Amino acid sequence: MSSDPLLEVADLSVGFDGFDGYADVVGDVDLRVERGEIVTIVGETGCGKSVTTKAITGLLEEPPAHVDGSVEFDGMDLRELSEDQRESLNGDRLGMIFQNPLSGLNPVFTIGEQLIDTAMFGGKNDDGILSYFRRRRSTADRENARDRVVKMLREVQMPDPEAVLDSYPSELSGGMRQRALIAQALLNEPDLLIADEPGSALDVTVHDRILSLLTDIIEDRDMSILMITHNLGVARQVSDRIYIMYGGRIVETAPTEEIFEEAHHPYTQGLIASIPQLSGEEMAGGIDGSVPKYTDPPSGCRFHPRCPYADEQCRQSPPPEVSFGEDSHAVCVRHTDDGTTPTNEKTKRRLMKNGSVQTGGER
Amino acid sequence: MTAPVLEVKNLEKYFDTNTGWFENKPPVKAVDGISLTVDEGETLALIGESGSGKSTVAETIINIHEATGGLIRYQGEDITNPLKEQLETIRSDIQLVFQDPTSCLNPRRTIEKSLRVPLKATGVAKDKRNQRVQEMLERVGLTDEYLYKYPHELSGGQKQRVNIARALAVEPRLLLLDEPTSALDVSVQAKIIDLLRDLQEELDLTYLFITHDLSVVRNFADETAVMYLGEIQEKGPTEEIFQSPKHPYTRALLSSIPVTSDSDEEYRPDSEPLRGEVPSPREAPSGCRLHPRCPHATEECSMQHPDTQQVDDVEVQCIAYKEESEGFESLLTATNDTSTESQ
Repeated sequence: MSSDPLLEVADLSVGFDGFDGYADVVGDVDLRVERGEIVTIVGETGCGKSVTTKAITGLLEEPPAHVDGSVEFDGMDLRELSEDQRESLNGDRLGMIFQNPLSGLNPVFTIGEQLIDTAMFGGKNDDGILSYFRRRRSTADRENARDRVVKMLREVQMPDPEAVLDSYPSELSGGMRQRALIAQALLNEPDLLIADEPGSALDVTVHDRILSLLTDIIEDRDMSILMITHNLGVARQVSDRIYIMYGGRIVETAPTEEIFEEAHHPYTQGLIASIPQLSGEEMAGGIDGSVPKYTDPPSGCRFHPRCPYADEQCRQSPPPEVSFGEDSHAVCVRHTDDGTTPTNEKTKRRLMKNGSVQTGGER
Repeated sequence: MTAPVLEVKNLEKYFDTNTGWFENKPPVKAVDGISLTVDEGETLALIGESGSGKSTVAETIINIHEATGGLIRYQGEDITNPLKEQLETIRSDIQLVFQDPTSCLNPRRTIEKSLRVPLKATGVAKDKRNQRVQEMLERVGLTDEYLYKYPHELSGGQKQRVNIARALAVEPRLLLLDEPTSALDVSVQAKIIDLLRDLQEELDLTYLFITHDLSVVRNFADETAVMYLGEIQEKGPTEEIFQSPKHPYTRALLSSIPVTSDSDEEYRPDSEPLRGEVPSPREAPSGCRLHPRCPHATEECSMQHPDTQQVDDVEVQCIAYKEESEGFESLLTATNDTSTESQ
């Protein structure tokens, strides 16, 4: 199984030309999504998660973006494909759900118009104006597509799907819009769904149901999901494997359970320790500093200005990748030298206040 | 015994929805008869989904909105419809910190200028202002170098620190914190919570902490009140609420938190998902406001507005608690199981 992943990203890097100079955002990213697997990318705001998925789906405009590396989807190299071939993949075999359910739908078309068009034209190449009009006017096709849309809306548990078809996005609540977007992404039965923080703009109770809906759908149809989230709790709930991203680099990857039992990278450990616990267990005081500036990233390990274990070595040379098992890697030098090895416990203790009030706060 | 710092009784805030002369629509009942008290040096957490009226409560307390009915007392004094002189004391004794740290700072003012405004307003002598501004920044853990920066140069967490510093400038006794951490990342959120806790100890502040995230509250608040569609559904000591949540809404909220460890998992009641979404307060349901979404709803729930029941230290507003009947037992069994396991 591991020999034939659905999506394999190797050595992906993304940079942008800007007024402040070249921003080296994403680098050395290796990702793999197996068939039927849910994989999440977790990191703070500004860690390059969304940019990574946009580079994978080819939604970045080049230039100003500079993308490098290989993105292999089911044996095809997406970066080599022509514009036409790509377009027929997006929306057909590659589904996408974007973060904000409010801006993902066009406000001047009804949900029905948008979804039925997706069902009719999604994944179909630009095969000439004639066939476009033929399809556009074909009542049979339209009826057919409409049925499919209604069925799909039922599947995402949309209340009263027939009525929803005739309403505009502004008439729906946030949860319903998110459901409509999920239905739209699933209409052409993609093999891979890329979901950027699905539902995190919604209330907790609704968010929870959207997530369980997604996982149910996956089980039913043997799809894969590459999901982005900033919430480790969400990642734990849904995913099989987790990639932790910091400063545009993957700093750790492991199967979900392993991350929570025994994280290896200080950043992961810091994140876990900062989450408020229901059991009322004392939490660490958060990680000092903030995400690096991409125009002038820190030398060596990008996490070193915030790391409680950092020393001269971290400042000077990029950290090596250390393997802890087949699917478990972390990029941290502390696991190779004889210094203290970071563990959840130790990191938590170091991040606790213990009088070391760092002035300067989040920088 | 001294009067509680803040006492709210049957507070009502209705918003008029009529736009034309001849319309006669019922008002939106954003806050509908809530009561709470916060004692000196304590933290009360007000929890609920968006649209439940939590922010309106805070805004009504400091008279951004005029209360439709009910009573607000600050240190025993009635401030429901404050006189001009009263308003001055309220505004310097009670301060509000908003959710979005970016939109509350003027982008064209440096941090120093933003911090000077409240000092000027409360009549601090000109020659003392400089020193005060520096003290304020230091108190929230920022150095002097931030004085002459503009808001866009700061990260979200730093901006929230500045907002807290500004709220503290007039030396308030009571802080209303309206989702102060929900726009921040976890690593930064933990820092802000830490800061708030330190400040409370140092300055003997009283907090009304508004949030939708139950897990933040666990370590932080002494008492917790759960709000839904303008009404308080359950209120009691935080410990109690987490150990044995009674109201179906509290249980649903708790069960939908994505947790990160097995020990936390035990604190979650068995999943009791609510149907649908928060209805618009324009069309608040009859009877118990939760009944269209509640998994335990009976016919009675839609007919009759539930009374508030006192169960141990907790006040619950749910019909199932009216008598010690089977409904009472059946609601409680699931919770009891989980809480005994975790002890």
